[in-house]
Amino acid sequence: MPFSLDLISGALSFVFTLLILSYLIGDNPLFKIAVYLFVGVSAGYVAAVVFWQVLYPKLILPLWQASLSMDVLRLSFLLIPLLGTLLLLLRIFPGTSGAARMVMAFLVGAGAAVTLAGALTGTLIPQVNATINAFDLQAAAARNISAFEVLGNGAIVLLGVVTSLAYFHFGARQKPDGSAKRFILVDLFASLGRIFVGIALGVVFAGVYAAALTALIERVAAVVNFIRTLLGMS
Amino acid sequence: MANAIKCPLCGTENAADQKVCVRCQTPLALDASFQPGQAPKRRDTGELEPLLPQWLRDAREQARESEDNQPTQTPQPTVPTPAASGLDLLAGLQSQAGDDTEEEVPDWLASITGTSTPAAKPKAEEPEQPASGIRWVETGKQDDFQTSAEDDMPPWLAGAQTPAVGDEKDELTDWFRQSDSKPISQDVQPFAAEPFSAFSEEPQPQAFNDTPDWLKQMAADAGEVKPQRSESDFNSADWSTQPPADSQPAAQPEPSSQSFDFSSETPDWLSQLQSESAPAEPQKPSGNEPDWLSQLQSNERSNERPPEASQPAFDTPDWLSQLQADAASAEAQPASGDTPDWLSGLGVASAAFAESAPAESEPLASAGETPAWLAPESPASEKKDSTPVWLQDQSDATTPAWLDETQPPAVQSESADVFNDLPDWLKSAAPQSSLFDEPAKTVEMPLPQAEPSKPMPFESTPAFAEGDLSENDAALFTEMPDWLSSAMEQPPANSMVPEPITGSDALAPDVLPSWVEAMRPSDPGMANIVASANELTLESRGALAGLSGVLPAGAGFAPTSKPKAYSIKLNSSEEQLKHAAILEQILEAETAPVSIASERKLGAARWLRWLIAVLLLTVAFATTFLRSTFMSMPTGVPNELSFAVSVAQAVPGNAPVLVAVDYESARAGEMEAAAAPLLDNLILLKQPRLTFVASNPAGGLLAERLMRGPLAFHLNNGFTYLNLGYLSGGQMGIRAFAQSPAAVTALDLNGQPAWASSYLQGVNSLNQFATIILLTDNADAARAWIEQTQSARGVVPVIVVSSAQAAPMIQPYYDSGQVAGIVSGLYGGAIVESRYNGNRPGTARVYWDAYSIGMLLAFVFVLGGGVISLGLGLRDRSVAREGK
Repeated sequence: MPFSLDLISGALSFVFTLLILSYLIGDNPLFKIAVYLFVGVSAGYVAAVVFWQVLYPKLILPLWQASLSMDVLRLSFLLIPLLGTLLLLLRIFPGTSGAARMVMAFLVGAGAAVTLAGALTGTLIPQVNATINAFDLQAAAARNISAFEVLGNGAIVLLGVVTSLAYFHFGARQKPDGSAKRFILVDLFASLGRIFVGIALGVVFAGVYAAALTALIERVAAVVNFIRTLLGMS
Repeated sequence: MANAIKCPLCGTENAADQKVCVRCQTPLALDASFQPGQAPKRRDTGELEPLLPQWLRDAREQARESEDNQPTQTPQPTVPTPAASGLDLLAGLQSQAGDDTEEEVPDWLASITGTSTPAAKPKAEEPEQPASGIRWVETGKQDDFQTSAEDDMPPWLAGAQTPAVGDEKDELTDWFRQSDSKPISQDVQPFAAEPFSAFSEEPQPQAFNDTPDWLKQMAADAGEVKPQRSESDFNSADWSTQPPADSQPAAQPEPSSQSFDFSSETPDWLSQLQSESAPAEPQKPSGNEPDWLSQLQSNERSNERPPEASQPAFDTPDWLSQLQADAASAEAQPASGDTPDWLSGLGVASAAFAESAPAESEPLASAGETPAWLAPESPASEKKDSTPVWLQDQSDATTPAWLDETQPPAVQSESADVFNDLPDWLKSAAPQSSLFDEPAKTVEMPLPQAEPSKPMPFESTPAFAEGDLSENDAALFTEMPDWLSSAMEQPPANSMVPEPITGSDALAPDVLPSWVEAMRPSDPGMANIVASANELTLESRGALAGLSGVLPAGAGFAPTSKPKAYSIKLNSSEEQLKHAAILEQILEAETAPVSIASERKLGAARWLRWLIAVLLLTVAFATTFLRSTFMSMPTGVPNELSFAVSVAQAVPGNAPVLVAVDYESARAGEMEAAAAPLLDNLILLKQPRLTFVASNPAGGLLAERLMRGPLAFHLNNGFTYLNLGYLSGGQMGIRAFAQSPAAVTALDLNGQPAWASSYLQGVNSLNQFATIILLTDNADAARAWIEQTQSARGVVPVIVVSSAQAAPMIQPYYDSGQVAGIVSGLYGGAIVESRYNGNRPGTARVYWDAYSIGMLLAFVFVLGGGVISLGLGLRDRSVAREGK
């Protein structure tokens, strides 16, 4: 019986799936072997991907081409990331880790700027507008949503936003007896907001459970498929 | 050996002329000198009375006899002693001179003057003399200097000479000390009463003419003032070189001197003195005579012999030997009556000054230490020959101007203030003594009568000859009085004329003379400190730069005892202790570990866990293995899914579609089940030019897995796609890709130029794609793509295919219109698959039964758990209620 690549990969998938599922009985060496193997394979795979899909096509190959073509301008521009890469490599030595501070500072600064700008223009402002426009009937009509639904959805969204924010408001006044109690209106909204927060967490949990269940089903299906393949039942 | 000196250190006997030991170079006469800082010793000299020479006894006898003939002098009122003042040190001497009480007179001062209590008694025939200012040195009685009317010696010098009798064993010195400390019986003549040759008043016109006026004035004050003389008689101040009154009878011995019993206890020096005068004296000194006397005699003989013939024959002290040598050498020195010899010797024989200085600076504890320049001239020596060498060198010098100026008034007036006649140097040497200020008022005491001075055997020879002092004796110069030191520094010849000491040469009011300073109690500790401070290097840096001897670690500064131990026990009260105990309790309560009550493990937890696991695995395995389809597909279509399908179906045919893959491998089953129906529908309907790009390292491989797995059917039908691979840089990479996709991902996963392929033909920017499909299981990844491509994508719709766990967080972007549609999880894939793909069997359908049963089990578990929790809560509340 010839062993095809699919059979070998299927067998490995079956074995490692069982090793991972062995965690059901607790932490055991089989589970650790599977985890270590996955971590190692993932690291090796990432290293290979980074080299073949980042360094080689975006640094080494352009440097080689620029050197061949004697394109000094391009070569000089390519030396900057090369220098940054070398400086980052110095972080592996404790004595020279300080040399990478400039590169790290550039990366952190640029990342923070990009993230802040993107969050401002891509999330904060659009989400505020979306909350305001929850009662926009024209927009709802354009999206084939009835006015009642728009108003109902808008009211729920507004109530949920306000009460959820009130729930995370922890300001309170201190009474003469030493106890602290929030303002009654805030306390009322907070109580409602706790319901919305609970529902949101329930939805998230349902999503996580659904995702995990799907993953389990996929693994079980993989095992079943392998078994069926072994049994010739496909 | 009689003339040998035994070294006190090594015991080696040295020749008498040796100053230092030939073996160990130890100064031989060092022990005889009075060392600076050495306290004078009080000795009882009364027991030495029988040891006095006969001539001294005779002299004292004569003094008593003359005193008996004189009326008893009225005791003078005691003058307040100004010696208490630290500045007026010499005033103490004055008070001593006027006070007979022994307690007021230090021994060392008594040794200097040789004054004895009987000598201090005024003689009857002598009129009571007013107090004289020159008694700042001389503390003896005025009678001591009046016994010889011809004595030119100033009283203070006579007083200094009186103890100049003694041998090297200080026998007479002790006697003289005792003579100062205790009264001597009347039957004993004071030694000073003997007619010393140098101070006798036997007419010596020429010699007297050489005497300075101030010295004469001193003599006058001492009660032996002669009548006025002509000014020509005072041409010379060579009072020290005057042949004594007894020197004339050098050839015919003095009666008193003839009565000396040299055979008894005569010191050696006296014997030697006698031997020197042997040619003139009929008596021969016996072997028992003192050495100094013998040498004195030999000196007298040597004056008539060639100088080289004078050799000490006995145990003559060195300084006496030197006296002999100087006396012999004095024969060749021309004498001059115009210049004070003692001043003449300043310039040339400066060394003699220096050598004689210690004799004066020292307290003259013994007669043997009598400075030679103060000693009377040998009776046998002639006038010229008797001049010491150090004085003869200046014999041709003229009389100093200051001497000439002071002569007339000093001679004309006997009762004049003698201090006006004193040389300036003598005044300046006195440390602000009141004697100079108010001599007549403050001191009203009778001058002790100068006793007839006995001819001193060494007066013509200086104490030290030039060049005799060794290096070890150089320390003597440090004790030299200032006025002598300054005299040495002056150039010789005419420039040696002493000038009034003014300016820096004069002693400051608060400066002690060096010879007084030398007699101060020594303080070795301070001396060490000063020495160590001088040895320290100069501070060159810091705030103390320029200072030397900073923080000297000298003796006396170090702690001599252990530091005092202080108790560290707190002195606290009961209330404070209570508070401390409370504080300790509080701290202990805060630091004590609080035991946390462990929650009781549910007995059904392990069983429940295995039950749930078995149920889920069984359901999954059974449904997948059996490929059951008993669970119906969902029918309700959410709006976001509906819009997602609409957008996907609105994509033009063969249009470029960008598929961004950003999910983990663990979520590949769910993501493939959710995305495959939509992509299947899209490929089936529109045959778009799919371009995959991954924002995580595994994205490219997962994209391949997606296309080669659920969508393999289309690949088999010739559908192709472009995989750009991994887009590095996170959000920055996404933003860069959104701004310039061709520059960021120039090559595809296979390393081929991507943007030159047919898949990206006509596409140079992000907004040129027909639609963007985002496959992600992470809400943050969806947010990053939405945010960073917001401005670059324009109106290009974004369809998000997400995991079920990320869908709730991506829903707001759909509500805000930033995302055109959402297909979430297996549920969304099942809808698309069942509703928009014509119920083509797909992955969602394979999983759907297991998924549905699993969700049902979850519902049961959640509901059952809630019910159980509610029941337990009610039970607890009821128990609590019953308990209350």
